[in-house]
Amino acid sequence: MILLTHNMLASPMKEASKQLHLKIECEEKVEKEQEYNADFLNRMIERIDWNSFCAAAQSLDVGNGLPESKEQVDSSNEEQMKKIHHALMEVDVVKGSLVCTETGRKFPIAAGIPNMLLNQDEL
Amino acid sequence: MAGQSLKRDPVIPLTGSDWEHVYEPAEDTFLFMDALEKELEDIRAARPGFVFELGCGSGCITAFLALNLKGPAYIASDINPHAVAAARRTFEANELKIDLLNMDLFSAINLPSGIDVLLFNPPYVPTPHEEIESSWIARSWAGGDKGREVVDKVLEKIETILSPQGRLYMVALDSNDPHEIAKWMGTKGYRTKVV
Repeated sequence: MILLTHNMLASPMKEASKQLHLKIECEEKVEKEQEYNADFLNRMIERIDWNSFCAAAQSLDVGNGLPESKEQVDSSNEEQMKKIHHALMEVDVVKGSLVCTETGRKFPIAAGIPNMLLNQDEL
Repeated sequence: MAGQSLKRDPVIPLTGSDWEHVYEPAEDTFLFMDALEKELEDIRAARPGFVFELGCGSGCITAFLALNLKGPAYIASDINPHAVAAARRTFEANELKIDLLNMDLFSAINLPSGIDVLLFNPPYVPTPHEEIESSWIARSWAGGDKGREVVDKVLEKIETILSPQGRLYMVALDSNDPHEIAKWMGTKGYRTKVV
């Protein structure tokens, strides 16, 4: 799971607000180079929740040098854009958990795939 | 070369026992790929950011589109853990970096800007309601009343899932009453067509 995907997830628990993003507990991550496409990245930046992205990037130790807010993103600054690209697209959490901060429920990530299914008694 | 298909078909690295719990690509899968191939230039022109496949099974459909249309971010999901594991192998065999989610419909999705292209080959076979959840493989095809029970759950909130210019590509049978589906989508402000 890359952080772009993480950015579109929320806790499926019925008690949860569906507004907050899940906290990442990373046990293993892999960094893989992905093609850099400035146009695609600019369009994605517009659409992601920036605070959630930065917090997630910090938790994976790839948050250094990221602008604190979307307004501070300078698309002409290629060094900064490549840092955003790296954190958003190239860091793959292969093992760990996604934690619902409202209920404490953990959703395991194995082989890079988050298991967001609820148990029968949680439905 | 005008008129000649340039499409690439995905490698499916799955065999015999994989198909016990995962839907094996069949005629509907190939028809869906043909339809997407026809739509390819139209989809490209819309410059989608997010392409999402609901119920990806073996991963064949997403792999097909991702091989033939570079650019968007692809994400695929399935409620069946065997399916997401199989799709992971399919994506790896095709050297595609596509994230997977083991998820029930859109229960864990929070994407306010919406999905630009939603791909859905649903469980559309009319069956008794009880059959839908009878096994992992049944979930891939058993659609309950009129084959519409799972389809309707998705269409009910489609406007909260798609981006403003978003589009849904979905497989349907005559017994699913596609005209009624089109009428319903019309009341939500969507245009529909048969590909």
